[in-house]
Amino acid sequence: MGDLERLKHLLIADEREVLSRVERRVEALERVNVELASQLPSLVRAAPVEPMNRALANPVAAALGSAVQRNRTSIVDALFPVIGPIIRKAIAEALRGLMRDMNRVLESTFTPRGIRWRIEAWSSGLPYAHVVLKHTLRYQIDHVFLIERDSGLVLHRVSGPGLPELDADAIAGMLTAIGQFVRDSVSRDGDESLEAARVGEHLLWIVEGPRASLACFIQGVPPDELRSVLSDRLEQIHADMLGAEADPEDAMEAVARSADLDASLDPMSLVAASASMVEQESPARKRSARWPWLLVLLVLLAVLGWHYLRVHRWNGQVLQLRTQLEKHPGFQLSALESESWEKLTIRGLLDADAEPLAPLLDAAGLDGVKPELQIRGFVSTDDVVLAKRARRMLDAPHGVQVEVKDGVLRVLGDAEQEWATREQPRASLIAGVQRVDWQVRGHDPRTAARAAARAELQEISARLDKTRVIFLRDSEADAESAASLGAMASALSRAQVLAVESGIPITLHVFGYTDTPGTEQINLDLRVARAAWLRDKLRENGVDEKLLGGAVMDSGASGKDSVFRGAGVRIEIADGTP
Amino acid sequence: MSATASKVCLLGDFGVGKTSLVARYVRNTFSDNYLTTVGVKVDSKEVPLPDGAARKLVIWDIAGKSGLDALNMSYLRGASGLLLVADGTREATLRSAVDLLLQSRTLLPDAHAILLINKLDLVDRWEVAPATLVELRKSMPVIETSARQGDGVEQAFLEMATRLNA
Repeated sequence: MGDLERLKHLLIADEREVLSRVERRVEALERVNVELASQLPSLVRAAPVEPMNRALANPVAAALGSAVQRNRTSIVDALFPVIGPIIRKAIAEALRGLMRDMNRVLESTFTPRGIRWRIEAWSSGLPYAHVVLKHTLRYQIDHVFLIERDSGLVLHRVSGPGLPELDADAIAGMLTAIGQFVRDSVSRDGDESLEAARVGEHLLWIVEGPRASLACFIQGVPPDELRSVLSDRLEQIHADMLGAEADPEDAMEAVARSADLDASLDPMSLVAASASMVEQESPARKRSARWPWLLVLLVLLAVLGWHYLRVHRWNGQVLQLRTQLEKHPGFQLSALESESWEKLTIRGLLDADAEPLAPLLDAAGLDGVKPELQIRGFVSTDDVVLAKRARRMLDAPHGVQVEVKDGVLRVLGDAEQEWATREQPRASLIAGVQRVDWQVRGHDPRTAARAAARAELQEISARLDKTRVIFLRDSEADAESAASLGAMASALSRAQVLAVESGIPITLHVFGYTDTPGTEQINLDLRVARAAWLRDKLRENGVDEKLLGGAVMDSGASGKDSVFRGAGVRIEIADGTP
Repeated sequence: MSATASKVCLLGDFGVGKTSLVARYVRNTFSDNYLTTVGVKVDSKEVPLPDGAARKLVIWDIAGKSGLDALNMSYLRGASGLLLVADGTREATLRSAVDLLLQSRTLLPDAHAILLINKLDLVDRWEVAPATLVELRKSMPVIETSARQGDGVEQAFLEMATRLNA
């Protein structure tokens, strides 16, 4: 060793020693780091489970979150094969439940039992689904097995009271074997499993978990909520396993020995939990499902009410029309075929003398439906129609009354004898007339005319008797009396016409009157003169010369009987037949 | 308190007498038809142990085959014991039993295994040489049984129960 080396040794020996130790430590650490990567898996496996789980929980969660954020695609690709079957399984289960519900509702809706349940639902206020469940889901759980999934060994078992003893281990084993057989036979990806089996009323439900399964032996038809309850219980068991022991085998056995498991898997407890779940879901269904039913019901009732009113109104109109048609004289109703608001067909027989049906049909309304008439003719014996037929056929003149009552034709009144003679034999030939009561007084129309003329002539005569022309002096007529000459002339002209038309002879007498003073001769001359004056005046006022020419100038009125000075006329009507 | 249950699988070639051994030992719960349909039949037997304890054996009688397919492998899952059965009159079945043991070890490395040489009642027609059995006994328990006469049957299951309870 040279001096320099000795000097270095003296000066930095300690530092070189420290440096050497540090280098060796660094080399050792680097070697450990290199070897750590290969030793890490075995170290992790060798580490105590629970501290390792606690230590890794947060970093693993944070790393997973970071990986999801930064490399989402890879995570999705990795999870896709797992998520896909889970989603498919969930959808398939939901669809199966939906189909079961639909089948159950459809099977029970249109049967007498379904109608009875619906009435019960309305009367009790419970939703229909609740009532259906109450009646259909009668079931009991016989056995509940908690089975280790791999080995098929029974971890725990609870059976209902009074059931015969069975080899639970063998049954669980066979069940596991059959489940594996089914999975191996029908499941492509191996993730699906046997979930249920049914023989008659006996049903087996299997709910599988990662490490254990629940097998439930049931009689009857359980609600779907029972499967949810079983799933909840199985999840709780798995949660207890994770928290119980570090060793999975020990954890499973510890949970299986747990006293709480008896209560958790007790059949009555499961049934009660299932019923409670049904009860909890019912109000939501009630709230969500009842108002549409009410709305539909109201609409249905409104439509039915409207339809009922329309039918009632239509039927009322048709009934009223039928009544009127049946009462209509001369119409015999054979059939009335009604199709509401569509068609109305009237079949029957109608007499030609009956009143037409059109006004009756127009007044019936019928909401615009025009009735179809299928009418044939016939001869009616109704009194009204018979009377109308008799009037038409007899052509009864004014003054003759035609009546029919109970088929008896009664003809009464006054008529020309010629008509009466002609029509009386025909009356009994009118169709429908059973008997004729003929009370017609026949007369000659010329006789009546003469009688009327005679009566009028007599009236004119009476009027003329009261009409006088007063003279102030010998031949000077009173002006007022002279004014009545016109009326006198008119009456005489009318009398002449009546006499000519009726053939009754009349004679006109013209009188002159004087009072008593004066000699007889003077008075006679004066009366003659006054009568002549009146005749002349009448001629001037238009009286026919034929009448005046034949007039009797009567001056024989006695002075003793005369009380006034004047002149007048009188008509003499010849006697004889009227 | 009920005895702890353990899953024990019977493996062996066709016709070696597995089902007869089980029928001799346990009360049959299920029909043998399961062997030809599902490929397995399960029974159970509670074995009283000399120390007063008891062990329940859940015995999976797996249909006879010289090899294990995927389904049979799934039947082995969770087993704690293997009863390998060979027919003493057919040496080939002994080779099959050993092959089955080797296959099952991939799934059940820690399971207890016992070799049963059946048909002891026909020992004069055995093909399996005694020397072979001596060699086998060095690696696993070997018990000679007769399902027909019942020889060694209870001993075999008791041995298994004892080993599982140890």
